[in-house]
Amino acid sequence: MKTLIIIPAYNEQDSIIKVVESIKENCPYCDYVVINDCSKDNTPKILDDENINHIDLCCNLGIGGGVQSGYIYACKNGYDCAVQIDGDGQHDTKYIKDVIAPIESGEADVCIGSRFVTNEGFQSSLSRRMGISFLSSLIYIACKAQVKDVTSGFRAVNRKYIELFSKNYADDYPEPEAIVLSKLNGAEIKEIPVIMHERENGVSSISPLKSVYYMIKVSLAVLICRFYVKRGGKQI
Amino acid sequence: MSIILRISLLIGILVYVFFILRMLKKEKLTLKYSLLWFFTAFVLLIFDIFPQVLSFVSSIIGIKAPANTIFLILIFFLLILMISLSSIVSIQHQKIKTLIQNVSILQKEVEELKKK
Repeated sequence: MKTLIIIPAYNEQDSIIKVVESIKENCPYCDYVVINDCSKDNTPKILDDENINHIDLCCNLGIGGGVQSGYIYACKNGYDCAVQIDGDGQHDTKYIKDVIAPIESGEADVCIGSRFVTNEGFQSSLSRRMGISFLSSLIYIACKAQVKDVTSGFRAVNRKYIELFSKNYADDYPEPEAIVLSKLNGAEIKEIPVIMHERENGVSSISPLKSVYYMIKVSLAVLICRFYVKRGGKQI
Repeated sequence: MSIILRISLLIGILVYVFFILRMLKKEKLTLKYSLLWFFTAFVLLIFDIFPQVLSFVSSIIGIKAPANTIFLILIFFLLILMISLSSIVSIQHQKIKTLIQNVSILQKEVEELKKK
């Protein structure tokens, strides 16, 4: 199965090489592409010097637009499976094969690497876990998708959902919305346990101040998505 | 409405329409987006020329001073104009995003071809 690993990167000069190296080591059978979202640090230079397969976005699009570029690239180049992982080293690449496995066997259309199945590894702060469990319940009510780690950016999707996401993907904080969108389009979603690390370098894209906006925006997005997409029907 | 208010309103509307026409001529405004502005001017003009229409509308909705009805209508139009602007911005945002993504991917492909 032709698999592409999408790695969105914004100012990740300290971690991007490590991530790419570990991908080459742990999953040599996968292709990868780094999406450089107009990094202001040395990331573009590193990507060029180390001859890493990458796309330089000509304007900053944010996480959603960046990841979507990866899906468009996967769509254009005929990949059957796409995996997205963060460029900051939080996601351990040795779990990529576990995330791909259900897609490969046809058991699931979307497979999410989750911290909260076995509750091992880095678990994030209490307030964030509360927020995540609230969103998780909301998503369950909205579309009956049982996902615990709704904000996890570690996921694999098959061809149908590569196409869906290349046309339709939220701009900021896209992960929970993507779950609802794929579920309402008939996806079988599976969650598998992974261990995540605390980020080594750089700052999270979600500061405490933004988290209120995050909760309101995502809750609203989930509800609106619920009302405008018919289950198993066509996309928005 | 006093005659002075009516005359100043008329002058205001004429200046306003003149500006829109000038912007249209200089191609700083697309005709499609100017229609709502023109319509606003047209409605105000009707109320200005036929104050009895304005008094009638005011009495129906229970506003004592007809000038207040003018304000109400203006605010209503401004709201619609602002929503339509938000919508235009959103549509453009979506288009620009798709454009950036495709250009960036094409750029990558061109560079790969150059290397070969």
